[in-house]
Amino acid sequence: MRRQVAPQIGWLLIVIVVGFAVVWPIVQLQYRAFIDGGSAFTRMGELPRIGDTVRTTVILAFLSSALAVLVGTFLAWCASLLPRRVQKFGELAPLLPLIVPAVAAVTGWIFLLSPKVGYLNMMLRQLPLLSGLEEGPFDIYTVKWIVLITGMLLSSFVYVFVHTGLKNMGQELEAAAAACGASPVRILLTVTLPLLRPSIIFAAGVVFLLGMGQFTAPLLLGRTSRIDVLTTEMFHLTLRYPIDYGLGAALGFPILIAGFIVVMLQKLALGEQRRYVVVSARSKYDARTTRWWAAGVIGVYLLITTVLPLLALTYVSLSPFWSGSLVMTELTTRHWKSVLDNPVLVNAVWTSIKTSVIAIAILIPLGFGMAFALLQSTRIFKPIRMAIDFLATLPMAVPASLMGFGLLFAYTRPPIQIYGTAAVLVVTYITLMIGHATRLQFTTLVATGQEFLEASKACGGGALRSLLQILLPLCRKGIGATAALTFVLLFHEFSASLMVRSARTQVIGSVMYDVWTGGVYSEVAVLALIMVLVTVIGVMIAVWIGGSESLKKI
Amino acid sequence: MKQLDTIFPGLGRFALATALLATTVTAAFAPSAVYAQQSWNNVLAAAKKEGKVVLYSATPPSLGNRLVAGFKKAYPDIDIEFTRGPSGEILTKVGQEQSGGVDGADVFISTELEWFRARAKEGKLLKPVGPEAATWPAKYIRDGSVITAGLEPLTIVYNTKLIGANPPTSYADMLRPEYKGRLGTSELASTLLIAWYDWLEKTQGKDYLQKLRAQNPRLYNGTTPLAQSLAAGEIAVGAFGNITAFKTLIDQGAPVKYVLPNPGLGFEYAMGGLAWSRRLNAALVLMDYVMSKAGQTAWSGTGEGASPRTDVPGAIPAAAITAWDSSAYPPDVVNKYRAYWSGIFK
Repeated sequence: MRRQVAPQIGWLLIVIVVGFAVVWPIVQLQYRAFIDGGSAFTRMGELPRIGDTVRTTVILAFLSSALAVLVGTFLAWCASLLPRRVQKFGELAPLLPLIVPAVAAVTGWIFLLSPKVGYLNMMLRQLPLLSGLEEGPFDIYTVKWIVLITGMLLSSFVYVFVHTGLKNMGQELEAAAAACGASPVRILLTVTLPLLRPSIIFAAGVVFLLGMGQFTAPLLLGRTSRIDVLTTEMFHLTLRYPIDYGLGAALGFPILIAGFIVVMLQKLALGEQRRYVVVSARSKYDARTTRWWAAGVIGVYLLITTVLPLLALTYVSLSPFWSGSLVMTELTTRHWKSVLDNPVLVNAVWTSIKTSVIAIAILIPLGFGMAFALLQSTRIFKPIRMAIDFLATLPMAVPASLMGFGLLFAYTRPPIQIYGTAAVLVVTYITLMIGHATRLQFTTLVATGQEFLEASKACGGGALRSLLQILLPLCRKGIGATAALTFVLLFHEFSASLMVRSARTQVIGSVMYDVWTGGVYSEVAVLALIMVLVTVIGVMIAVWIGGSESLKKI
Repeated sequence: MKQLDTIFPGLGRFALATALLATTVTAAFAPSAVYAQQSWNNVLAAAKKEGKVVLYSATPPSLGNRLVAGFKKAYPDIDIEFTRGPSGEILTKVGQEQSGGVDGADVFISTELEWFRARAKEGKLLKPVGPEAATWPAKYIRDGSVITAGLEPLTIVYNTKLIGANPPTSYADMLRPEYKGRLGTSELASTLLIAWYDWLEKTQGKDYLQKLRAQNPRLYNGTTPLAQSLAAGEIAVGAFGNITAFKTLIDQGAPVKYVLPNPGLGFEYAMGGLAWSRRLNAALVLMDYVMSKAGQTAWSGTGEGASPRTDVPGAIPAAAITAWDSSAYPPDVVNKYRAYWSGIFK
């Protein structure tokens, strides 16, 4: 009896601790929206242009996620058509935009597409057809461009899911269709895409939620042109003392409801996945014809999303100040020196690294435990498993900016008053990422199977020994991949960090915003490039720990 | 607190602040009074033991950096940590620190004069006790502890590459048809902005703001980001600016010039030592440095602003600046105006 009850207490403890971390801030915050007869909603209705704000939020969520699904799926299809010589790099290339933090990419794009002095705009105006223009042809400070850039940023996430789905899919049905004379496009539309439906639906849900909670692009691109979304309105509230948490909660309420609906729809739509299993899911049969133009498409995507913004950032980082001229003779390293000599900025980089690493050190075992609890073979009370499932899903349904706002409210007052310390960042990161850490490791555990574990037990190995000597080594690559992806996401984390940071406890994303609003743009460019460099180093370390195969698992 | 207890055994923090102030109030209101050198020596010794002082300031980075460099030179034994931000934004952080008991700012500089005055009335600001306080003009110490650390005129700024022979010289010029879509101004990043927009309506006509809005200006979060955009050429003219925000860019060769409009408005930077600070002695020392000739020369000796002191070479004369009247903008007026302004500009 004791042997049965003891582990349940452990699982229950996880439910209580994670439940408190995830549910408490949201419940407390939403409570503030509904007290006083819902007066917060009245205040929300009185905000200037709130109708426009809601409309822009919805437009951004739908259009950017639709664009991301189209681009991401098309890229995955192109990756599957890659000639063998470029296949290895070509399959990884659409992931490279993930190395560039959104805040850096958006900054790079401003330098490229600012209507009057954007470098790309200026070059385009040299073309005979556009030579009469004084500005443009593109204006990045518009809803259209916020949608386009958000869609491009999110397309990498869609690629991750759809590409994996495509890799795992057997090609027998496509081969059969080809044998019957179907053209590649017809095969794509009638066979490949319908089979990929689970991956596409899952990816669409994920990017819709990210689009709904999108913060970086509207904040940096919309503010000067009076374009707001619900999350930027929430952020503006945190800049006025005393903070109207009730109003913030009311602003976040529609996003929260949308999040729940999307997650429920995802679960409903993906309920019976066995329908999509092809005859031999892991077939090595390779029937697809290869096309060189597919490599060209991926190359252009990489150029647009990564190479051009990084080039613009590098140029501005070496310019005396951001100016609309391309004079190479005036380049200087002054801003690099200034950033590296500034203790506040250097400390922020270290705080980012430290808090991310500490959070990962907690997230990996916690997520592993929760993932283990979700396995059908694990003996666990059903209500506890359901609670763990819910806790692993909830953080994915709540956008980071809304979660950050809730965490700011929860941790600036008793019982846990940790605002102003690095601990609040660690707790924030754990809360945001526990869902990802659990789901990613769950996939690894499912793929590992139970046979080796059962064999170990049959040979007399204890639970701990089986875990340490069998399960963990088998899951090493998956854990390495989880750690790498979590590091990238945390080091790039901007929305929630900006909400919960204090003036003295900053991370790189938040100081970059401060430099953006109160400093020199060339220093913003330097910080953006440092973010990229540290991300690359972090991923390399995680890959070194997890083995080179773990990169593929990302 | 430990050090303070050493200096004033048996006194609590607030009792101590009061005791410190008792010495200084006299000095603040009667410049001829002699400040207590022995007490100040004790403060200096305790500040050294505290080892660090944290400054939050809404001044542009270049000014803040000059103050930091000057303080390091004057007090090499005391580290200084400097955080910059727009007035309203950084005020929120200070408020959160106060309510949450967080170790944060020791000294705070911002344009939110009324916030300082309210805290002073609650006894939450340190009264300056250093040698400089004894000779600081009484006009520039309000409520015994709110120090006017610098004054600046508001300017109009323009990009010399984009604006040719006929640059703007007055706020009326902001409405020139050729500036439509090429103009920048600031959001309500602080109460100063509210006072400025209100002043514009009063001096330029009731429909001025509507006409300014019709120019489709870009809205920036204060002068510093506006300055960057102006230097880059994203906008040609900035209706709201202060010299400090542009000086560094001009020195680096950016094609930016400023003009002082007539009539024009100015503003004050208020400074206060926070009584809930963890390093009270170091806070007093930093305040004293900012009020010193060296501190004021670092602040306004470059000609970017005016000093309450009369012995700062290069500074604009303080009498030449008409600062906005912060007492006319209590919180209820601010909230109403915010809604009114948003109705026009948002």
